[in-house]
Amino acid sequence: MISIEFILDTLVLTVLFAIVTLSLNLKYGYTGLLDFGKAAFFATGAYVSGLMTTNSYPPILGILTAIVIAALMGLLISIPAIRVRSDYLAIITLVFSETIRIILKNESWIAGGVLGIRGIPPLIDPRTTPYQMYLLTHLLIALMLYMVFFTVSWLLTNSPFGRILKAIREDEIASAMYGKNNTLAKAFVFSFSCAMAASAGSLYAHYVGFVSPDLFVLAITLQVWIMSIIGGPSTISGSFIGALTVLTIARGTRIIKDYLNLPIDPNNTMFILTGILLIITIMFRPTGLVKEGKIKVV
Amino acid sequence: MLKATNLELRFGGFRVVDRVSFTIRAAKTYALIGPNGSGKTSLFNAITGVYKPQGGKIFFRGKDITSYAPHRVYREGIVRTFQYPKVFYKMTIIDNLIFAARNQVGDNPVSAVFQRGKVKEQERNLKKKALDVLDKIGLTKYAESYPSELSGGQLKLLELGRALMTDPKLLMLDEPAAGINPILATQLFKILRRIRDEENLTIFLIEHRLEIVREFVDWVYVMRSGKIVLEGSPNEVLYDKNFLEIYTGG
Amino acid sequence: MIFDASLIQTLLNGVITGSIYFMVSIGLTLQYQLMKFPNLTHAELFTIGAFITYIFADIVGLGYWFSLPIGAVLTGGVAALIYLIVFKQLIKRGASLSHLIIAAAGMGILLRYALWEAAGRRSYFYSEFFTPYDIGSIRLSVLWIAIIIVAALTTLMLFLLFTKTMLGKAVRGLSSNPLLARVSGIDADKMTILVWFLSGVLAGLAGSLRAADTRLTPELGVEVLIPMFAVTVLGGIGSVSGAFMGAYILGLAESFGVVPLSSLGFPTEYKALTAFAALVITILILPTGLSSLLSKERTRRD
Repeated sequence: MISIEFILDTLVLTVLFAIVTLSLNLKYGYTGLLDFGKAAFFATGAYVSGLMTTNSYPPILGILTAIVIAALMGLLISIPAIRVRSDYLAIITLVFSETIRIILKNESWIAGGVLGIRGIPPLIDPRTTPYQMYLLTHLLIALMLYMVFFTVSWLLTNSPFGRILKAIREDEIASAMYGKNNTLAKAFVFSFSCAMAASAGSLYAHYVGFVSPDLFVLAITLQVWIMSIIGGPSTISGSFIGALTVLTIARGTRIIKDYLNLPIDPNNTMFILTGILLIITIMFRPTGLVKEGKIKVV
Repeated sequence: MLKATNLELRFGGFRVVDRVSFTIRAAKTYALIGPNGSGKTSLFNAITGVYKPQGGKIFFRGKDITSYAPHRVYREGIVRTFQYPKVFYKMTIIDNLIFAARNQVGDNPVSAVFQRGKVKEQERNLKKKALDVLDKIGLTKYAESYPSELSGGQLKLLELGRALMTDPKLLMLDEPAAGINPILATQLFKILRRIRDEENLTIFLIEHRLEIVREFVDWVYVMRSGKIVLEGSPNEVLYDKNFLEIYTGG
Repeated sequence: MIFDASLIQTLLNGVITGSIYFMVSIGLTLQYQLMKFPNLTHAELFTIGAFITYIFADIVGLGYWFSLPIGAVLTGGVAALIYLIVFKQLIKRGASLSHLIIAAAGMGILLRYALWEAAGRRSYFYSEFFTPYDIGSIRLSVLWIAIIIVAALTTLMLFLLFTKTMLGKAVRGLSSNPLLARVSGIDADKMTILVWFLSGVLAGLAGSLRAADTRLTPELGVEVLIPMFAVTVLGGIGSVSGAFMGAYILGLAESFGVVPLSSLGFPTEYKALTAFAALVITILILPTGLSSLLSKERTRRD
């Protein structure tokens, strides 16, 4: 039931999702941009890595390409996206993610259609390492990536640039009146955030071994949202706490369900749970567990 | 310093600023007064780029800034406060002040990460400057608090403080003492006067209270229905035989 | 000759699609203007309506046509309940726009995956089958005619409701100027419940018709998600006439777009791109939608 392997696996997923959650925190928690297409960038990273490594390119190249493509995609989308009001931004990003999903699902000549890409090579050979070491190594790689993004995000938000983001979130006109270039700031956050999500997606593809259009689904975007909100959207550390909390709850309910022998599909439960958590958290504790802190530059 | 010729701003078919011309000379204080709805704030909005004027021109120190967007107007050295302070409630008061300062290295995200030393140094300097401004406006003890803890009058002081952080060449104040009690208002103008004299500032302000205008200001423009209908030194204007009629909308 | 017939057929298909899009978008656009946020749950009501109709039609055994109104009304009830239990409470607690959108999204997936759980990964079919008849070279079926008639009746009823009745005018007043409306004695809460109920009814109706035309799965709502938003934005938020125009324009665009696409070898799923393109272009060029072009004599949207 609860084995070391289970815990390690949960942790790997936690850290990977913490990275994506952190990217949403930067976008929404700090800058106020309502991104409902997060899954798209995560999944794009996964797909790019999957495509490249199944065509015999080395994983590191796959990950780097994924990051570059996602950053460019983010930049491209930001051109229309940052000019519109929040509700339209939410709609555009949501529809964007859905559209890619539908196209991928129906086009078998692009990346395997509904079946996705299988047989993505893992980062280390599972045949020559004991399973626990395999999991541990993945966890360490994920943690290193998270640490890098954690540090960069911390530096960004605890700086004059971070002040601009918070200003944009609250009152864009006032920000412009004091000479700040809102458009550039938003474009940067958008593309950096997308690159982050994509890198997590790349690692995910290698860890799980396959990708499918279902990675683009709205439900995954909403999973990231609930992690962001529960942890505390306007924080850096909230990303890990949120991811940990949600995954623990999800896995916990699965264990209980197995224990009680309830015939419910675990995937469905995960998403039903996400929906319930979202509504409850928004209703009762929309600021999340970790509170927004002061900007510490010096 | 600032010169406007035939400035025109329309909303729908309505001329809120109707062929207005005026001049603001350096190191002097000017007031724009007039009844409600005469277009004073709209004129400020047109000058600072919040709205683009449909006609006329604005020159600042010789440069044509008519079509400039707000952040460019700021870069030229014009700073403007709002009638209802646009402070950031999710930032501390000292951060609100530091935000307003110019040319921050750390505004650039790449520098924020890779030039940390420089960013920190500038931040330290700005913090000192902000504390200095806080001292001048009398809000030092609120440095690390949030704007929600301030009264309406104190928010206006904060708004003024932010403007001062920008080393402005021209300070445009929209009703700097509106809606606050008379004692605090007098205090605000005392502070403003002291700073103005120390820094030799050029000030253009919108104000309702005529008694303050008289003591504080060098030249008055009176606006009504989008036009400037009267101008002169405070006493000339206030004692002009048409003044009461203009102001009460005859 | 043959070209003419297939032209008429394509036109017909476009009108049928447009009718479905119209009915499902009315509720969204009205709610959007009233509540000021896009209700991401709306697509699921489309699916729920179809399932409720199925239960009454094939499990209880009342047959499709009798179950249709039952399904619609019950879906309206579900919509009203969702408002009362979730959104009314959130608004009372002062939820911001972002929060409302997030909660709506959460409610949406909750419903969708609960449906997946209840219905399983299979398609359902109404036992009533609507045989297509060939009149000349044009293919028609009772269902398709019904769809068009229902859409037409809906248009008529809404027109009468909003222009002739006190109730309708009250709803319009509330949407465009809430403060004034309340001051004039309009019960905002009752009106809001009514709007949600109405949107649920129309969505449920549209969903049942659509499911009869294709098949019934929990994914039914997802299929109209993008078109629904495209139509709402294209038509102008809050405008029923805008939704009318937008829905038929989109329906026809998809229908006519499929022809060149398939001749170029692309499968018909690309029609999803039509809606996406329409959405993005509208937001960039005319964010207030088509209805704002028409309302020269009016100052607000519909």
